[in-house]
Amino acid sequence: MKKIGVIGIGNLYRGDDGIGPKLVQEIQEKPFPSNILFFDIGLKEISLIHILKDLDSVLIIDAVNFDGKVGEFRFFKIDEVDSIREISGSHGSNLFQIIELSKKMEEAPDEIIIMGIKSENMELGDKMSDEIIENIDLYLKNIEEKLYEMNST
Amino acid sequence: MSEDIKVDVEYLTRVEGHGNIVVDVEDGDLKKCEWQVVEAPRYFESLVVDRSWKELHHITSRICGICSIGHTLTSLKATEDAMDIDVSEQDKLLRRLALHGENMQSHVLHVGYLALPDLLGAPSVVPLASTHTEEVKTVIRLHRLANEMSSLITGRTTHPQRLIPGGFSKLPTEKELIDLKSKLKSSVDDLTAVAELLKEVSPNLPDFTRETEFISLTHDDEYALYGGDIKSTDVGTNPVDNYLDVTNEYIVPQSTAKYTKNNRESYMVGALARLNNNYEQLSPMAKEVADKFGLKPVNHNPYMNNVAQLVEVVHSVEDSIGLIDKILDRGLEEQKEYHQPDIEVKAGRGIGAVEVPRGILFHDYTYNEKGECTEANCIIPTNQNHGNIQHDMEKLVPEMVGQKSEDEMELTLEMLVRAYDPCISCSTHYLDVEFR
Repeated sequence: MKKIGVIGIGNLYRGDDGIGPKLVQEIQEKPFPSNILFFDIGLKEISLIHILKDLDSVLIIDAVNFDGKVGEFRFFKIDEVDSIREISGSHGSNLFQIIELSKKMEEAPDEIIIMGIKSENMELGDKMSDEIIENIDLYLKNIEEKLYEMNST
Repeated sequence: MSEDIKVDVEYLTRVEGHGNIVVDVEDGDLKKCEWQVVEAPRYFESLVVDRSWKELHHITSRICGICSIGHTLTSLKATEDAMDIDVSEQDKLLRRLALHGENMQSHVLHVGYLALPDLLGAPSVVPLASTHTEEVKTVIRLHRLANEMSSLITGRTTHPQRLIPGGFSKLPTEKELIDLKSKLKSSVDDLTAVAELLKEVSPNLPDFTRETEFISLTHDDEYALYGGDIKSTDVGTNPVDNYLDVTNEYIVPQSTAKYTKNNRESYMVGALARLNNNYEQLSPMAKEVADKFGLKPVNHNPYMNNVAQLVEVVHSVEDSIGLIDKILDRGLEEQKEYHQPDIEVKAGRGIGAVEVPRGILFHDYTYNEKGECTEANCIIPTNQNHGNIQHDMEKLVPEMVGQKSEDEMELTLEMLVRAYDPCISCSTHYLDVEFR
C-alpha cells in the first residue's frame, strides 16, 4: 500500500503563513486509512528531505502568493510553476530547492502536489485573514477529497 | 593603493532570516562598513504576556525552527525556576540528550548544507549533490540521525511536544534508547568522513584574527549545554541570575535587532565560544578532531566556528552514548503516557539559560499567582553576535583592500557572517509564484 504524506509548512504566529500547519492539525482529527500520514513541520522546511524519502505520494500545504483573491486555493505541481518571484525560507533554503535535492538523491516521491492558499496577512500573531478563516471548512473538504483521490490511484 | 570598492549584499543567502552587508571604500578609505539586520521585530515577549505557564514553552518554541528544542528547554527552565518545580535526574539526562540531538541537527545542517558549498566553490548544496554525491549523502545521513534522535526524545523533530514543565509527557523505551545508541556508534564513520572533507577544504577558511571576548555557560562536571554559570574569557564567571549585567543590550541605527556587549565593545557566543571556555571537557574523540584542525583555546578566528561546530557534533555523539548508558545503568523509570507532573502554580520570577546551537540563550519570565505571564524577556544568541560581526567586518575590510578583488571581498564577508550561523528570525515561509 502506498504511503501518502500530508505536510503543513509555515509559521503559526505569522498570520496567514500558519495556514499549512493549522490545516494539518485539523485534518488529522478525521478518520483516514493508516497509510496516510500527517506532518506539521512548522518552520523547518529542511526536515522535508528526510520525510520525503519514506513517502510515495505527498500533499504539501503552504501559504502561497499567486494571482488571485485572498483565500483562494489551488492544487499544483512544481512543473506548473512558471517562475518563483521570491521565496523566503529557513536558512535561505526553500521548498523547491529541497525537493530538487531530494530528487537528486533519488529519494523523492513519485507524486508531489502542493496546495497553495493565497495569503495576504503575514503580521505577527495568530490571527489570519477573514477570507482564509471563512474557507477553512472548504479547504478541509478539498484536502479530504484530494487524499482519497491520491489514495485510489 | 587607491581603490574604490562597493559591496552591497542584500538578503544574504544561506543564513536564517534577512541581513545585509554594506561596504563602501573610496580611494582606499573605508567610508561605510555595516552588518545590517533589517527584519521587523517579532515581539514574542509581548505575545506570551497573559498566556498560561502551560503554553509558554510551546509558543516560544516557534521563535525558531532550528533551535526549537533549545527555546523549549530554556522556557521550561525559566518556568520551573519561577515556580520551584523539580525535575528528576532521569529527566535531566533525557533533556541533555534532546539538546545533543538539536545541536547535531543544527551543526550538521550548517556545516554540511550551508558552509561546505562556500569551501567547495558551489552556490548551494543542490549542485553538490551532483559533484559530491557521496559526501552529500553522508551529510544527509548524519542530519537524519540527529532528526530521529530529536524525534525519539521530544516527540517531534522540531517544535517538541513531550517536553513539559517538570519533565516529559512521554518517555522513550529502553529498547528505543538501545537502538539509538547503536545508531550513534555506527555514525562514527560518517563523522570521520565529514571531518576529513572539512580538513581537506579548511585551507579555504580565511586566516583572520581579531581578539574578542567569548561568553558561554560553564559547568564543573560537564561540557555545559543544559546549565551552569555564565563564563567570559575576559572576566570569569557570573551566575545566570545576573545575565542582564553580562548582556547589556543596546540599539544601533542600522539594525532592528538589539546588540549586546560586556567587557569589550562586543562578544561572541556559539560553538567557538563554548570550545574556548570549556575545551578540557570535550569528549576524547571531539578533542582529537579539534587537534586535527589545530583548534585550541583561545582561538580568535571567527571562521573556525565552522570547525568548532563539527567538533561539537562529535562531542554530542560521544556524550550521548555515555548519557544513554547512564540512563540504562540506572534503569529507566517508566511513567504512563500523557504524564503530567503535579505542579503547584504560584507567582514568581524565573530565569532559564541553555546553550543552543548558536550560543547562550536566556528566557526570563514573571508569573502572577494564576500562573499567567506578566513580563518576559528573551535574549537570543544571534543578537549577542551582531556586534561582534560588525567589529570583525571593520577590521577585516581594511585588511582586504588592495589584496582581494571586490568579488573575493564579498565572498569573504558572506563567509564571515555565515560562520556565525546567524538565525536572524524565522520569518514567513510562503512561496511567491507565477503559474504557466
